Amino acid sequence: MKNTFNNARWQIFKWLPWHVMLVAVALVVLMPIIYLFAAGFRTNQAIYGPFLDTNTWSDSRIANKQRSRISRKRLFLRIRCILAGYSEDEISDKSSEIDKKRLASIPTELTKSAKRWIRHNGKDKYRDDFLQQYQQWKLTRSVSEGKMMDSQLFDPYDNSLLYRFEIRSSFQNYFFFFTGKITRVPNITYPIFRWFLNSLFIAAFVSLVQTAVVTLAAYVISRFRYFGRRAGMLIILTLQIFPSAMSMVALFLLLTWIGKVIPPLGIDTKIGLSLVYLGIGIPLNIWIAKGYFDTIPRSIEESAIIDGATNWQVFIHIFLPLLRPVISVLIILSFVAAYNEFLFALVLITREDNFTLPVALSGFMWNNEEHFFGIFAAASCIGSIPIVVLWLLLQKQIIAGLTRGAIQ
Amino acid sequence: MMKKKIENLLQRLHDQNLIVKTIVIITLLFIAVFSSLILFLYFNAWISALLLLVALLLVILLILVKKLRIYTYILPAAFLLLLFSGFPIVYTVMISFSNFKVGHIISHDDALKNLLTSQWHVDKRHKPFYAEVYAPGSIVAQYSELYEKRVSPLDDQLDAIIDADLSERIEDIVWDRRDRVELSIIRNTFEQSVLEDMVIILYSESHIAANISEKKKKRVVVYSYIPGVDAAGDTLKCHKTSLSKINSLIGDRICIGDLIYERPSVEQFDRIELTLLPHFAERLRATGENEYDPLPLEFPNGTIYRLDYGTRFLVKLPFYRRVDGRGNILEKMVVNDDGTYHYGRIIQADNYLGSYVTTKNDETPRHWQEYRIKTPDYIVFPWFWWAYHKSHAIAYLDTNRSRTGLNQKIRECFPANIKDIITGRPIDDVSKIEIRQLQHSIKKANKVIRDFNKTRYGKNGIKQYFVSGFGEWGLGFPKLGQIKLVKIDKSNVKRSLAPGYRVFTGIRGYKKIVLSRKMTESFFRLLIWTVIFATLTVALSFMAGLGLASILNKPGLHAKNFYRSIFILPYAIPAALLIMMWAAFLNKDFGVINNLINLDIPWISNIYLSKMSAVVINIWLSFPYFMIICLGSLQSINPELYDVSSVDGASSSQQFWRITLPLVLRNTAPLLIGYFGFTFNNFTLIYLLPGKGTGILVTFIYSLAFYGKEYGLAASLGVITFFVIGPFLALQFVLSGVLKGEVLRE
Repeated sequence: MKNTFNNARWQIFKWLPWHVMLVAVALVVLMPIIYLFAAGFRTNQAIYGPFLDTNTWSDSRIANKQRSRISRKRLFLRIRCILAGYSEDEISDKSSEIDKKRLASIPTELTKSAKRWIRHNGKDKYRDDFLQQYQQWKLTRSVSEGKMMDSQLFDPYDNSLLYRFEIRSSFQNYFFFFTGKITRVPNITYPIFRWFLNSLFIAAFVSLVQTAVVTLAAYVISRFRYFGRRAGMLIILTLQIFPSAMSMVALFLLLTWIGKVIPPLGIDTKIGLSLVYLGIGIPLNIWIAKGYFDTIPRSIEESAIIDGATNWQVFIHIFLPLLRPVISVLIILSFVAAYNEFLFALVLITREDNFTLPVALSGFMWNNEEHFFGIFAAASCIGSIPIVVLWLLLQKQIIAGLTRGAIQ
Repeated sequence: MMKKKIENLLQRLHDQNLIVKTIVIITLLFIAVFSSLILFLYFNAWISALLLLVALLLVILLILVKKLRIYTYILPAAFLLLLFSGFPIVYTVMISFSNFKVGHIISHDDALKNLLTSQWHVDKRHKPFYAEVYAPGSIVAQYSELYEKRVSPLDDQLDAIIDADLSERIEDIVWDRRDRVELSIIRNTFEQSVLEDMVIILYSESHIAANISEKKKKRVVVYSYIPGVDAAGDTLKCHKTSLSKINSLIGDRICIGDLIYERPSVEQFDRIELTLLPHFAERLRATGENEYDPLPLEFPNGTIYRLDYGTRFLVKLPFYRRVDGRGNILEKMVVNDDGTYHYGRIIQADNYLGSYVTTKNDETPRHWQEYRIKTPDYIVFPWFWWAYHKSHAIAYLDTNRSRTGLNQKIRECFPANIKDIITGRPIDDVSKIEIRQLQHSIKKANKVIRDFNKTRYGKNGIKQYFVSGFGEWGLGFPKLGQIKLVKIDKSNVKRSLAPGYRVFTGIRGYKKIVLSRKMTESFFRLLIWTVIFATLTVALSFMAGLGLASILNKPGLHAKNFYRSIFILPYAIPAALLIMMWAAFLNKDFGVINNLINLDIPWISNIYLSKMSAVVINIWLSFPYFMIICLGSLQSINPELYDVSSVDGASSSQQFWRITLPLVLRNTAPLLIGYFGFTFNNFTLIYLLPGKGTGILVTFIYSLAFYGKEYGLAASLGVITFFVIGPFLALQFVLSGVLKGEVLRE
């Protein structure tokens, strides 16, 4: 029996449940990201809901929802009126007032022919084109129908369109990352590739320097006894608790002071920001490296020490080759932390040329006039590529295993 | 022999790297001295210079002394840590002992300087004076020449620009050019004319109003500055002049700008319409390139007027004449609440508030505490306390209160002269006997209130009670609270002036937080939620990460790389962007999730659900981190352990619980604690996810500092948080036993 299971044919069935489970978990967990990826293909995407086309005309659910909300409100009003001692007539008067007001603003479903026309013509159109065509088409219908459609399509107060309807699939948003141009805003070229490079530069700088600094420190912390060792480690950990909202201001001042003396390290510079990331990231990373050092048995370096090797030689020739997995982990973690950091990048960098990717992209989401959600989605999907690539490159090192190397 | 010795020496040098060491030390010494000198001499920052010098000398010491040499390995990390994690903390602790907030940012000296050279206010009580400025003919001719020139070169340039087809930039260039030309004109003409001989005639508004009678017009009194006579001194002294003398004063000078007052004799002269004039003084002041002192004119009564706009002369409102030896008391104070001014009030430095203040009767500023009897509050116990409107219940209670004469009863409990006993007396002056009496009468009054609360809704009252207690969302039980004896802050400060300064306030900020019930309540409520939030996040995402990692670590599983790369995605996309995305998804009316399931679930607008979604989103964001950590950590477990245990007959679940989990936990315990700290301060998540009731301590501190503008108070709250949570973390850290299994070298 055991032999049959070890047979290559049976292997597939043995692992099948695991695969099914993993795929299911991945689908559920990564649904928002799949959504984000899909949203990147829609050029004129609102933030809210493209899977179910809530932005199109054909949706009656929103209208129904609003209706039910009114009736609930009416119920509460009725109860309160009864408790307050109003008469039946007064109650009906009050509730009908509210209903009239609310019902007037709620869109109902369109007639079938109108719906068909909008389905046919409303898709793949920009707002102005659509309005133009709509006006032309309206002339062919009867006056009453035109009025009805108007009342359903436009807000009665400010005549704005009630629903968004432009949905168009293309690669435009993904191209935006390289061209920096949005068709709807023809005059502006966003320096998005520059932002991307800024982020890459900062993350690369931070991860390299961080790893070097941290491994050196962790080596000493793990292998030597010296004054202030325990206390230092404790303090490093507890520093994390300090509110970042407070350190924001202090770091801003510190960088301005530094910038007065050494301008390239000051406020609004990439290196200044990277230095801040270095300082912030060190505590956790030291602990990662130190934990790894602790798993390396003493016997490995003992012989070298007996041979008279200096500490530095031991570190370079004996430890460094063994440290490959943890160095990869450190590079990955500090790269991601620096690449994705938002708050300090927002505060410490003001010039648009020096923006990092998250800060720059948040502008597309926070823009008050229009939400370029498609662009936001596409750019954040492309922006995640460096990290995934880095992970693919380094995961072999991480998985390669320390103990195997140590034993050999 | 000699050769051998030299060889020996060289060998020794080589062994100890002496040459390298000396070079390093000399360069370090050089850098230390040089940079600290630069800091000291050019930036006048002697503290930083000293710190730098000491730090670099310490580094040299570390290199020189063999015993301390291992410290050099930690040096870069320690330096970065101290500078970018340590400094903010030290700074914040320093700030927490001061009154640092908006309006109290600058130092004492700067605040004084700011006050002395502060803004110019329009004098509202005295109407401003209007001026006619008469300049000699030659200067005006020069001016007009320049004025005409101003236009012509620009036109040439415009043509050139249009030829070059740079139509976008034309406007910029034009404006840039014009500004520069204007400035040169002003420098060439107006400044000269002030210094040489110019006549300025000032009319008050009442003199030149259109509707005054002819009779009055004849008696117009004007002030005039006569050149040559009064030129000495800081200010130009003005004299009272009668209207008839003006023509002789003016002579053959020409009026610059508008004529304020119509006179036939003046109109005969050539007059230049200076459209420039109304703005140039202001512009000169705004450029800051040259310190332009706008024409100080002193009147016989001592007030000083200065040119504000071209033809308008205004009093500089807060005008200080003298500062005493210590720089504390200034002779005069000017600004009233309505923006008018008057002289005679002394302004003094108040080091308690950290600003310059005026006091009642010009006393020295004092701050003290007084007793006050706090009137009873309304207490409402609603069923649905989060959505309850108190007003209904309170209104009902109020009517009852007046109907039953409760107020009168309470008043009878106190002595008649209660107000005289405590008001205006610092708490130290009130004797213990008096306080005891007060407390006794408060006890009596509280008993009356308690009786009122008990009897209020008796047999008949219950129905009324239910009706009245019904708010918008449910029932409430209104009650009257107790009377309390409280301390209130008092001072004799009447008004504090705008730019305050930073002062050391000691533990006042901490006291404010600890003694204020509102503050402590919200602090602990937030603290509990923050701890729950952080713990849940760390525990659950660690579990998720470890689970995934151990599945993905199984030998024999296909497509491991694919799964690993897939699961890292939530970590790969910037968290801030994903949080913003989630905030849109969870919207109640339009969010994707509610549309998908076709329901109206208030994901982030209900206080409980929003907390839940914050935790879930945070787990979703952070489980890949733990997956990476655990993948690395699982590798460090010796595979022999599994082999041995499986030989002994341990099942795979037993292996997981007995071998994998403890070993991974021991390796990652500090990371878990560190990540707890990170989540404790996860400002980005809470800030960008606008949930109701998800606020954690950092966001509270943030809003206190930046919206409430109480930076010092926020700093003290931060420090308190640090000292409340820090010890727990340290204890947790020690208990986790990370330090036990260390491989230390002697």
